Amino acid sequence: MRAPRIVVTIHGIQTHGKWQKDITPFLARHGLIPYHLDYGWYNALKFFFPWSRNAQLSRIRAELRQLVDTTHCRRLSVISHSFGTFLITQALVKENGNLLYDRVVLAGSIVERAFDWKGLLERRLVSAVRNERADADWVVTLAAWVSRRLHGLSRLEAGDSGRRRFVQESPWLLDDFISGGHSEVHNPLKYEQWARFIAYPMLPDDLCERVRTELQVLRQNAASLLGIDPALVRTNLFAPIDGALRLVPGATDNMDHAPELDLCIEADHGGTGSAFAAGTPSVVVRRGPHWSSGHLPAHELGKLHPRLRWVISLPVLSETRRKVVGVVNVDGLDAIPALLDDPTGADCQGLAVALHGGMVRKFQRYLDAAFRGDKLASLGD
Amino acid sequence: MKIAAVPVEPVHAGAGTSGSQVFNFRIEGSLQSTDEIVMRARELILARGSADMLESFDWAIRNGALVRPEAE
Repeated sequence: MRAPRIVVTIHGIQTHGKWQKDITPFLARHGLIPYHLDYGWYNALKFFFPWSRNAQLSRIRAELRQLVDTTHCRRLSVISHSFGTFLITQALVKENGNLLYDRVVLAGSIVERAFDWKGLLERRLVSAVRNERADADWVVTLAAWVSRRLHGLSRLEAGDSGRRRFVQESPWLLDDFISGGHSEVHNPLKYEQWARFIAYPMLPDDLCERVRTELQVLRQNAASLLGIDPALVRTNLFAPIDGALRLVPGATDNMDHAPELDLCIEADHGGTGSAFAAGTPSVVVRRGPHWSSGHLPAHELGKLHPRLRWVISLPVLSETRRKVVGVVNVDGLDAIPALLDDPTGADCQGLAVALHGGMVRKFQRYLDAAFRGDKLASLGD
Repeated sequence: MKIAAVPVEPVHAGAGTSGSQVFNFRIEGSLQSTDEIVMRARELILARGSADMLESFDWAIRNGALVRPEAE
């Protein structure tokens, strides 16, 4: 059974975090399970005393560990505001690997601007971060001032990353800002985008529909290039989900063999895995009555359509992240087309390059938009 | 540019039973519109593909979208 995708929300000081309840339907719409951390009304004065902050941090760390133990969720996603941004980043650093985050939204952040996000991203303690700033946020400016000027008393190590960008840059550290103050940054107009950002690599309806259309086009093009009946060709999109390559829900065309929808492939295993790991196309052909054992585990081979004879795996390279973010497969039933008869020959290689070049731009655009949480309309398509 | 079909090695127990072949196309260097494989691919699209596919293909070659990323 797949682990649930849990989104921890955590509020700031002097609030009960009404926004946490308001954002719930947006998360639910994308199949995400909210877990609202509520540590009660936290007085601003208490925030300046290290013993009080540390006690709060200890409670939060214990609750997050308990949440992971209970749900078996490997990585928690987080939406945090103000003091909540401080607590969740400190928890991540202090747990040093006992706690893993998937996708994190910071709003009104008081995290230090020099915070080592790149180090945490490289160690895979967190998958991606979205920092939502407001250009007139005096609260985060005050937190940075106290941290700098009253450090001897407060021991606070905070910053105004909710108003000014983090110092480090990374394609996995996204940044956006609005005109407004500390509370305006929690603009309900943003909730849908945050939910989409966290849901990635699951595709929201608008992008999923467009990806399905492109998979249909690719199937027709592949059948035409191969000179075979399109009814015998299928297409699909794999992406890293829960630590392995899995079919992105809804991103298939002409696939009606239900067990295949649950395929789980390790990166560098088989044609799909090797295309993902190497960043170049792979071709698989089955000449005998059975698949060779060894490329995929027997229980995964058992899920394949019994009439499947060939697969061309085409990696999708993100333009911004310069990394393979998915694999589009074109495969076929019943017979091996003539162009694929010799996978080491120039005909087969030319076909793979033609299909790869003919499809990658659109899939790249749609997956990059989904990664950012953007809507299809923002692409101008 | 050089392209080579490299056999993908089995990784699970039970390897040895034959029936299927798995190849990965390793690309060395950047793909240029003058490379033989690229020209062959383009001719294939011209002969049997769509105008939209051809436009996307030319864009991908021009922008290096098929280039293998650096190892992380």
